[in-house]
Amino acid sequence: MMNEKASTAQAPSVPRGRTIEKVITGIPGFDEISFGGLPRGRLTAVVGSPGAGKTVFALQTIINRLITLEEPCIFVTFEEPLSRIRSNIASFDWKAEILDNPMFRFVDARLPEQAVMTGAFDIDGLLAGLTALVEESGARNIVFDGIDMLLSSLQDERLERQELLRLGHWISNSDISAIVTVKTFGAGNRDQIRADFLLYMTDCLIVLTETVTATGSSRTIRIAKYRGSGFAGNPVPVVIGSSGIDVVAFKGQRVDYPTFLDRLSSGVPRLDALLNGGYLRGSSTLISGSPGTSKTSLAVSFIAAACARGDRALLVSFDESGSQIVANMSSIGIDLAPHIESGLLSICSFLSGGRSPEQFFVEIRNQFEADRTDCLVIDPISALLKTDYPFSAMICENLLDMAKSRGATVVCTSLLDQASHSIELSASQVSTIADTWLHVSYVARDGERNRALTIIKSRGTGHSNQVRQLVLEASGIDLVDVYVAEGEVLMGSGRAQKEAETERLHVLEQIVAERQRLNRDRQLAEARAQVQAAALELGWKQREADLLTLAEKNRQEVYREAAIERLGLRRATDDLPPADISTTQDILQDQNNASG
Amino acid sequence: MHPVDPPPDGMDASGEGAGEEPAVYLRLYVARSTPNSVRAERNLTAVLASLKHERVLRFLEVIDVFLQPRRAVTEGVIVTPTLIGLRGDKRIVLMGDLADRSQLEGVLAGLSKD
Repeated sequence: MMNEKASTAQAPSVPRGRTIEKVITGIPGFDEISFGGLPRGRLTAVVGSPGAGKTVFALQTIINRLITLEEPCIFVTFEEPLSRIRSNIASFDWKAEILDNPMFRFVDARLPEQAVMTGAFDIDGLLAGLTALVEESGARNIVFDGIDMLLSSLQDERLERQELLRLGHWISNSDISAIVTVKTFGAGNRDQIRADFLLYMTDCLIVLTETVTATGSSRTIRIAKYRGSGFAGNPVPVVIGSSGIDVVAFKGQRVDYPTFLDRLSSGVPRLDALLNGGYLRGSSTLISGSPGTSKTSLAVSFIAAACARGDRALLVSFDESGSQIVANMSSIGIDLAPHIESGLLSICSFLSGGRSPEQFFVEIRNQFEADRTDCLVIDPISALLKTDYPFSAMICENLLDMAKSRGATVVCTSLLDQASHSIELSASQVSTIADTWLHVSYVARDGERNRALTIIKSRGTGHSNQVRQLVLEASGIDLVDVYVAEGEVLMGSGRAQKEAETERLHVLEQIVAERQRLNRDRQLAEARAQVQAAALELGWKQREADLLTLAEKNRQEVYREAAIERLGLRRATDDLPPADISTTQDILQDQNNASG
Repeated sequence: MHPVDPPPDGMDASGEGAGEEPAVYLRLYVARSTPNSVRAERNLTAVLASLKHERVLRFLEVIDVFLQPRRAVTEGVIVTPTLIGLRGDKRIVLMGDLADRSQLEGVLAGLSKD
């Protein structure tokens, strides 16, 4: 309740496009859904069943304003005496002495029990007294608590309306911000008429409900009307804890989340490579998968990497205790102990049930803000999504919202159970908010199960559609490249088998190639040999031809010599001068010429 | 508003100096001249007039809460008109315009009885 940081963060804010002036309530989450608090100088009605928290809401508001804005206040009670109110707030960690602060005035406006109703009456007397009190104290805030007690003692609804209008006028004329709490039972004609009229005449109407469910009670708050302002009108879960009322909403003031460009390591280098460096700072990542697929290890790897960098991390676990997690992680070579000791790592273990999702939210949020966490892991976030709780998705959204507004990076794991469709549906709701979605599954083949990691979605990066094998070893987590053969992804021994097969084929191919080569060589050699043989033959033939020519020459020569000899014999008797041994040839030539 | 039979100052509720019987002090808190308050005053004075024959000393004070707001707060007057009747240790509170005369008479009678 006492938001010490309220003074730094919560100046009265004006929502876009409107000019109504608002004052903060200081109630965590409420100022967010109302975009700045309640209207200044106007009437706000808080209605709800008994015990829904109306008085706490009103009291918390004026006390917050007293402390942070130093505005004096008046608490007018129609139902409970001061002593009861004191004991009601004793259970909160508010300093109860605040009720003794001179700036806090208490007016007991309970109708005397023994009073006799004799006819029509009005609250002018009270208002007159209050006017004097306001003037004297300078009060800027006033609460009329349990005014239904007064209204019910009026004879009919017409008189009720009259008094409510009278009250409304008084408030506007007094320049004071007023909260009126009205018990409604949701039944009965007059009750309904009263509620309708309140809706009509007030500037702002807030409805608190409490429903008892099988698992406990669940409270909600809803802004039913807010004249002159935008507001978030859905019912929002409320927790009443030791600090008072806590509205489980953390919608940022509609400003853009801080954006970053740098990436944070996931703790697995090969995965970082696939994600362009890791998870984008300020983003949210969902790791889904069946039980045992090592989602937790993957998520906690992110934490280990974060702390190694010096970032502050918060691990929220719904499954295991802190010591269990540390032990599990050390088996894969990740040592969290030093980070816990140094204070960089906080672990929130919610092992016991019995708490509603909004109570978890409040605890996580409180720890997150106390630590100023940079890196948040929620394992599994599906723990907040079970039991058909209507606000599950909203609470998850709020958690992610909260983290993103602070620039923290979030990794959530989620159990995707085939059998439970509601969980799948919710997880898909979360996935629309998640920037990155990794899925770990089991791939079974040939009697073996291996883990496969698929990047289903990765906003802002191109990512591989391929599946990688996730391996856990004593040295840590690793991703192994997937083996694709014939369009099928293989891992484990199937992979080894396939690899051997391919090797064999490769060898075969090599042999075939070798054989072919040899063939060619042989043919080539043959051809060469042929060429050689032909060349030899050519040589012989050539020789033959040469020989023949020579032989012919010889023959001609022999014939000529013979002819000359004959001629020589005949001339020897004629005392012929020794013939010029012209060649026989010439003689023959002459003979030829003479005869020819 | 002019009070009828204003009690002497300093007199307490036990009504000393009014004889053996304690007096009845009636304080009618009204809000200016709003309809309810006007009616209450009228009704009360009429009934008191009709009871004048009784041997009971009654003091009536009409207090306008707008003129004396502090008194209203200290006496715990929330609504107007409110009639507070005191006699001895008895204290009765009537809220409303006292429209029911017989009821008012009955209450006053009860206050006067010992």
